[in-house]
This record gives sequence, C-alpha cells and structure tokens, in this order.
Amino acid sequence: MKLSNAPPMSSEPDGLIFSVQRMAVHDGPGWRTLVFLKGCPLRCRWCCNPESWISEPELAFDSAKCIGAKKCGFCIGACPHSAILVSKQNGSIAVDRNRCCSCGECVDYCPSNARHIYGNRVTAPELLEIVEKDVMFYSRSGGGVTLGGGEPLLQIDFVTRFLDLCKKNGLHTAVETCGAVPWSNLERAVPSIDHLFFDVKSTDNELHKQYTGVPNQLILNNLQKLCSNYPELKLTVRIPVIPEFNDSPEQIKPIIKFLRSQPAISNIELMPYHRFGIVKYNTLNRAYPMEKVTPPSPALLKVLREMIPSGTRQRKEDF
Amino acid sequence: METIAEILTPQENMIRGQPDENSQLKAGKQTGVHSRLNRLRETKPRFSIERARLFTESFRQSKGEPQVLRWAKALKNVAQHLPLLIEPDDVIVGRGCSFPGRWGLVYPELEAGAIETLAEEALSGQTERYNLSPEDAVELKDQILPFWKEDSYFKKVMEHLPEDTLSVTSRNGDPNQWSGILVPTEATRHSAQWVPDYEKVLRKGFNGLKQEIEQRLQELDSLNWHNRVQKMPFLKAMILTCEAAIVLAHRYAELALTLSEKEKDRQRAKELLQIAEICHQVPENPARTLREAIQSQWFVQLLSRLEQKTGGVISNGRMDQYLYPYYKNDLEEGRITESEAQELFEHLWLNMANYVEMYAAGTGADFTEGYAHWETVTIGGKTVDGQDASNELSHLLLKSKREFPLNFPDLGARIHSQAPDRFLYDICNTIKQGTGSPKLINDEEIIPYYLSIGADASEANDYAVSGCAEARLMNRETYFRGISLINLGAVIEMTLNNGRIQLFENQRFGPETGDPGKFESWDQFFGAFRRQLVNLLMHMMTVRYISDTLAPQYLAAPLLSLLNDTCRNACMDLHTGNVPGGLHRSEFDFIGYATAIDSLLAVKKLVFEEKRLTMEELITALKDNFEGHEPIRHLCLNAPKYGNNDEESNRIGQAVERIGVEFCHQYPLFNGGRMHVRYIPITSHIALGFMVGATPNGRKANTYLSEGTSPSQGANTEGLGAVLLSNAATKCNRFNERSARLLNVKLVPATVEGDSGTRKLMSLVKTWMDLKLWHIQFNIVNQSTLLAAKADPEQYRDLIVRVAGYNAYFTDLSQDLQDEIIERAAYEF
Repeated sequence: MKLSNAPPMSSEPDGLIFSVQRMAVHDGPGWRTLVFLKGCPLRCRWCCNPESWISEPELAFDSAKCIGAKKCGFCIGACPHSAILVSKQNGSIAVDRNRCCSCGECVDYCPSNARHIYGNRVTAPELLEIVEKDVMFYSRSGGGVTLGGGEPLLQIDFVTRFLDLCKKNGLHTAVETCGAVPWSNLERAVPSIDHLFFDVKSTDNELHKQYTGVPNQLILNNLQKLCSNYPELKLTVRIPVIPEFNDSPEQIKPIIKFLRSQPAISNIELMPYHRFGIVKYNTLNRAYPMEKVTPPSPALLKVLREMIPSGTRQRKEDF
Repeated sequence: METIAEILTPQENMIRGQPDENSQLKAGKQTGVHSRLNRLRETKPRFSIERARLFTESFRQSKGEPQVLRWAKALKNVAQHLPLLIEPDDVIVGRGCSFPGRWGLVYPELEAGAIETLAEEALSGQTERYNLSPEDAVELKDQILPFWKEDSYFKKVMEHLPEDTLSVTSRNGDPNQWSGILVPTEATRHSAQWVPDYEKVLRKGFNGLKQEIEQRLQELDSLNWHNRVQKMPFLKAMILTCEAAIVLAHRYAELALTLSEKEKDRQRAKELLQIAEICHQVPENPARTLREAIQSQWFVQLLSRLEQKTGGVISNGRMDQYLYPYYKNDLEEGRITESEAQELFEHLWLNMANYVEMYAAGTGADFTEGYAHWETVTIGGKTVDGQDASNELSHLLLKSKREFPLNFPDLGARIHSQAPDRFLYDICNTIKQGTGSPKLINDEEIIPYYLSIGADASEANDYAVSGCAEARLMNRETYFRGISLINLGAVIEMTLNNGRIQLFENQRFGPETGDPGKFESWDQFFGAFRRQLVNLLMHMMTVRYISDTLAPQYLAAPLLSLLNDTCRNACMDLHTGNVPGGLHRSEFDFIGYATAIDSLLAVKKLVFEEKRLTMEELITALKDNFEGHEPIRHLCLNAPKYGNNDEESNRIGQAVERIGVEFCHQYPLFNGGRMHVRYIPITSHIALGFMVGATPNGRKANTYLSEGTSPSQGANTEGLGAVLLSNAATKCNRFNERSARLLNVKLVPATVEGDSGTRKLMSLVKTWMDLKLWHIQFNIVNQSTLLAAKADPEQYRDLIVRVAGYNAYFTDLSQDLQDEIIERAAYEF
C-alpha cells in the first residue's frame, strides 16, 4: 500500500488498519471502500474477522502458500526470535506462536507471500489518500467510505480525525459498530457519520456474555441514546443470525420488540452466519469455535425476516 | 473475499436444459429462422473457389488496364456468372457460393502461396477446421493459382522487404515462417476492416449512384491527361460496380421466380415471388420498406466479400440510424409488426453467420480462433448534431440479441454521458444474458479522439464501430491496411537476452543492447527495453511503407471506394493511400501489454530496488524456465502487478505506451497520416506466447501472454475498480497517436443478480465512461460452466463466450484459449 511521502505531522494520530476492500456494495449506498480497523472489545464466537481482535500488528502464516524449507526456508534465517518451526520429515514450516512477536522481519523474506502482517499504521491524511483512489466510483453510485473492523470507534481520535477529513473533502461516510464503546466515543464520531450500522446480537444478557464475552447493557444503552439524541441520523441495525445462539423466532422476537421502541431506526437487517472466515483462523493458529455449525436455512431466514416491521425491512435493492 | 452462492445466467440455464420461466432465450424452436439456426453448425465450413475462378478469368483478359478497372470488371464477371443458390427457408437471399452451409472464400490475388499449401492439405486429407473438395483443390492448383503465383500481394510485399526487416518478421529468411516477434498481417489482407456507407445505396439505389457517376464522366475534360489516366478509369470502374450489384440481384430475382413456379408449397411459392419482386427493386433502386432495405444492405455486404478480404471485417455500421426511417414507416403504415421485423433481422444475422472468414495460412487461423469475423452492428451514440441517437430500433436490436442465441453479428453499443437510463438499463440486462453482447464503446473517448486528429464534429459524432473495438468515419477516413502485431513478451526476452530469442536457437532478432548483468541501474535496463522496442517499431513502419506503396499496384476496391465520399469525390481508389481530403491514420497492436509491464516492474523491484535477486540469478532462472528455482518464481509471481492501480505499475504502463505513441508521432506514414497504438489481441496473445521464454513476471516459457489491456491472468488482487483505474492511468494522453484499448471483464453472475445487479452494472458502465476508457466487454459466466464445457463439449456446444472483440462458441476454441479464458480473473463486487 503506497502511503503519502509527506512527513507525518507530530499531532497526527495513528490508526491501525488491517485491510482495505474496494468496490464493496453491502455496507452503505453505492460502491464503498471498506477500511477495516484493528482491535475489538468483543470475541464473538462466530466472528469472521479473527485478525481484527487484537489492537497490535499480528503475523499470519498461510501454510498452503509456503513452499517449504527444502526449496526455500529464507524465513528461518530472517527471524530474530527463532520462531520458525521446521518439520524434520518434509521440511514444512510452522510458526512457534510462543516465540513469535509479530515483528514482521520474516515477511519480506518470503517469496511466496505466505507471511503477512495484519495491522498497518496510517495517519488520517494517509488513509484519505488511499480511499480517494476510488472517488471515480463514488460519484456515479452515491458511494463512499465505510469503516468497519474490529471496532472502529475504539480508535476514536484517529477515526474522528479521519471522518472529519472525509466530510471536508465531500465523501460520504459510514461506520459499522458493535456498540460496545464509551458513549463519549459515539458522541464524538456521530456528527461526521452519514450512515451508522449498529449491531444488536441479543437482548439476553447471559447469552450475550457467553457468546461474545461481554454483557449487552452498554450496547443497548448506547443504541437508546443514539435514537433519542440523534433522531436525524441514518441508522441501520444489524442482527447476526447465529445457529445455537439466536437463530429462532423466540430469540429474535425480543430484539425486534426492543428495536420497535426506538423510532429513529431506519433499517433493520439480518446478517446470516457464514463460514468464510475459517481459513483466517488457520493462518493465525487459532481454533475455530463453531466448527460443527451449519448456516441457517433460507426458509428460517424468511420466517425471521418477516418478523421485521415492514417499514424498516431492508430492501434488497440498496444500489 | 466472500463467495456467493452460484446463480446461473439465462444462457447457462438454457444450455443446462433448465430454461427458467423468465428466460428470453428461445431454445429448440424449430420453425423458420430457428430451423436455419439449428442447421448452422451441422457441417464444417467449406471453401468456395467459384469467386476465385471467375475473378481470375477476368484478370486474364484485362492485363495492362488500370487496377481499379480490372477489379471492377472482375467483380462484374463474378456477379454475372457466380452459380446461385436459394435455400428452402431463405428470406433474405444472396450467398457467395453455390452450395449450402457455412462458406468461405479464397483470395488468390492476395496469398497464392498459402492457398497452394491449403490445396495440398486438402488433397492429403489434413483439413480439420474446413472443407475444400479435392476437385476444387486440383482446379486451384492447376488452373487458378499459377496465374497469381508470381504476382500475389503477399509475395510482392515479402520480396520488397529489406533483408534486415525480413529477418525480424520471419525465421531463416523464409517469409512463410513467421517469427511471431513482429507479425505483418498487412500482407495477408486487402485491408484491415471497413464500414461502407449502406445508407447511400438504400436512398439512391445503385442505379441512382450510376447516373451520378455517368454525369460526372460526361462533364470531365477529356483533353486533360490526368482525367484520362486516373479519373476516367475510376469512374468507369464505379459504373461497372453498380452494374455488378444490379445484375447479381436480378439474377437472384430470376432464380426466385423459377423456383416459385416449381414450388409445391403455396405459401413458399408466394414468398419466392415476393423475393423476386424485392430483388428487382433493390439494390438497383431506393428501398421502400424495411425488408427491401435489409435485402439491399445484404447485397452490399455480399458484394464486398466478393470484392476483397477485409480480414473478415465488413461492419454493419449504424444500423439503428440508417434503417430506422424504414422501420418506423413500416410500423406506422401497418406493413410490419415488431416481431416480424425482428425475424427479418435474424435472417440477416444468419446470412452473416453462414459466411466464415477462413485463413489460408495457419497463423491467421491461430490469431482468430473460433472462425472470428466482425460485422459489428452499431447502436446508440450521438446524432450528427451531437444529441442522443438511441431509438426503438436500438432496443429491438438488443432484444434480438437476448432472444436469438447466435454469436454473429457482434453488437456494439456507443455510450455517452447523455445516454438515457432506459437505454443503459436495456443494455445491461442484455449483457446479463451471459452471451457477451453488446460490447460497449465510449463516445466520450472516441469523439474527442477523432476531433483531435482532424475530423469535423459532424463526422466525429457519426463514427461507426468497426471490427473488434475500433471505429470508422466511413466517408472521411481512407485506406486502412492490415495490422502489424508487436510481441511485447518477445521484447522483454530480447532485453534480457541481448537481442536473442532462446526458442529460436538463440538467434538474434533485435539489436545487441548489452549484457543485462552489467546494467547498473533500472534506467539502463529500461533504456535497453526501449531500444529493442523502437527497433521493432522501425521495422513495423518499414513493412507498412512497403505494403502501403505496393497496394495500389496489386489491389483495388471499387465497391468500397464508390461508397466512400472522399474516394468517390477524388476519383481515387481506397488503396491509393493518399486520397486528398481523407483523414489518414492506421494502427498497430501491442500484444502482451501486462506481461511486459509486470516483467519490467519485477526487474525494477526485485533486482534494482530491493536487490532481492541479482540479474544473473533472475536470468538463470528464466533460462531454466524456473525449474529448480522455485523461490525465485514465487518472488516473481508475487512482485507488484499491473491492474491493481498502484502508482509504480501505472507509471511503467504509461512509459511503455509512450514509447509507441512518441515514435508514431515522430515518424508519420508516407501519406502524412500517423500510426496509432492499439491493444487488440484477437487470439494472438495465445499463439505469440508460444515463442516467448519465461518472463520475469513469473510466467512460464511458451505459455500465453496477457490479453488486451487486461491484467495478467491471476494478477489482480484489488478488484475490478482497480483494473479500470489502472487502465485509465496508463494512457499516455499527451499524444494523439493512441486508439483502441480492448478490455475484457469476466463477472460472476451472482454479482449482477436481480434489478439491483443491473443497476450496479449501469453504475459500473457510467464510471467506465467517466474514465474515458475506449472499450469494455463482459463475460458473465460461472467458472463451473466453463470447466464443464471444457470437459463435455457436446453438451455445451451452444455456449457463447466473449473472446476478444468478438464472441465465439467456447467449444470451437483451442484448449489453450479455453484455459486462458478460464484463468481470467472473475470479478465480484
């Protein structure tokens, strides 16, 4: 990723991002450039972005791309912490996670791109330059930038600075939040947000703790405050539909009931569980907690979707 | 990236035998035009020698006369004596041979030597792609070819090439063995492509045109020698050409009448009578109805094929403009319904599909797999006055593309900033059928292009799409030779190998630019690349000069000259090359653009900047085709690549283009016009890859090069937006000498599903237009379908895909090309 050559201003806060995805269409109007920020207060068991959890850079190793120590092995000499494990049998390589500190020294030595550091420090002006590469696509489609993660509002100094810059430069902004952040963070960011996506996972506090690692009180309070303090905000609530956790009318019903009491919500979307993130768990040497689960059936999703009040039901034609 | 559940396109549904209710493709219908469609691919195309026989017969008797007159006489001889055929379900009549099925022609005046090889192949039973009867092969060898053997255009061009140029274009000094480094297709075609002014014939009839010419002939000062040697023979040739068109139609009228008398089916007998009446009326006289207009138009196309080989490219021009008055009038007066009109067009499409452009030389066939030919129909765009031109006929032609599963003719939609949404919506829904049509051509790029090289606004607004992705001003532009291909992959290899090509016993084809191991800087390396490329450009211009200046002695095109205002007014044949008042330009192709950019970029990064490799290590790995050098290959594969919109690759891409355009700017053609750089591989990027060794972008030896201006297969990581942005950023806009950039995009069907999918596609098209990219076309097909078609060609014989600027049946393509299409990136968004 090419960054600005301008020397960083001392007052400029850093942000830690781990991915930029271009021409996305599901996270706000038009074509979007999706910026993923690193660090998250939740540990949802179904999470499809495990590389987003920790607020520090992290090494990922894709053994499928690695050509092995017999043919290559450049990383072994490059690693200052002796964190490369080599199989005596076939020369295959693995990461010793106890030793690896994600310094990234090995990355440049790997010819096959099997090693990657998730986590890139950028300043807001630098990030603006990165997303502005796509402006040609925004103007025709009413698109813009969407910040996701991780939890973007954890990096609140960086994020408000970036969103302000976007607004000053005429870009449409969207943010995806899990809601589990101090209210003051939301208060600081919301004035520069055109469209906020807010996740509500469960109204059952115990279940919420069990599956996400945190209670839901802060989240629900924040949502209520948003609705009463910012009635003009374009607000979409997303409900992940997760097998074992909330994939039944009984679980969804109280969520809808809660949301109905918040008139400022313009849209409610269901986000069906999927398994696209599994491969990333492997590259981070983490176990995938929902190995045996299958995605919800279209029939079930139809039933659940019909529970959403029609005025707030997400239309498919969002383009 | 998330994987979306597979959604089938209407085409895929039809082929898999599950047409959904909304599908507009009518499969398996057995009546009228559909029975013709079902018969189309039953037999292999066959070469007819009838045109060659009659053409040669006339030439034997006209020695010493001006070339254009000889050509017109020969054309008239063909028109008078060509054996005719009307098939039982023909509605628009006229074919260039006497047998049914798909047909092609041989042009001995062009390449007698290659045709002789073809005849020998036929006699020894080695023909796979076509039929040529043994009797015809013998007649060709014994009767026809001896007359042309010493005088065919190809031979003459090759004889006149300087030795050093020939040693670059061919191997071992044998002009028939092309090197594949610089491919001079100039010598194997009469011209690259053309769009005749059909409207003139529809409005005036050949009789009206003939009267105008006779008038001019009478008014000429016959004491002026200039008139006697140039204008009078030209005008006489024009008269003969008009007569040829009229006589051919009249003969069809008589045949239809005779058949009608014998016909037992009363309805068909009536239809044949109607055909007879129509052929009496047109193209002699002005057309009065849509059906007459279509019949008249087809006679012009047919005659053009009998006249010369335009590389399979005799485009239909702006059909929704010049046919619209007839369509509208017929509708208003209740003479025709929309669906009857559509069926007439479909008969015309089948007539075009029945003609197959066949190359006598194998190389030509390699470059145009799947029997490529281009009769592009232009729709939309601007009126002469610069207003939106789309109309009901534009929509009808789109509808026919959706409903009639045939890959010919190609449909090209002109897009501009004021094109109405209803037109874009219809276009995008047609693209979503999955058969690759229409391709899109950008007015916002092409109109300014023409203005910049000297066209008037009225002319520029009225350009027609021609061939793959090119454009034509049919009454202003003049001669257009075939295209030289420059193999950028070979340029990379020669830069790394001191001018030599490994596969050809390390023979030298370029200048000795030095041992790259001794280069001290990237600038030095790029300087060597530039010298290699410029050397090829110099030889390319040499070939062009020789073929341009020899052309008027050996070639002529009275019909196309008649239907071009500039030529007709100047009384000069199209092949003269320097017709006064004409807009002269020509083009050549860069092949393997991304292969070259990525290779340069890999050298710059890995060797000179990051110093992760020495030049010696890289060159050794390339010579060994990366065998035993796997880490190096991975480094090369993972170096930055064109198509991801990073500044470095964009800069190098622009620098490569600049070498071409700057050269063309500096060294004009003999007629003062300029050569222009374009990127239209057709299928040559497959064949031209076979002689190029491993390249620093990680590509293995003897495999295909990158295609058009697309990223190298598998190189894109940043998505489709980055591909478009890279394409825009690599244009060297400081010079005028740059034209068509072909851009193929493969999309996953699920990504454009439903109405919101259509709107996404519309938004994409508008952004493409804003970026002022010349051309774009879409393959919307599932990878699983392509893989299944490769494994089971019988089941998938009707699968149409976009190859380059044309569509073809997937199973007609070679394995290599099939693989290349499969490996092209499939985009989702």
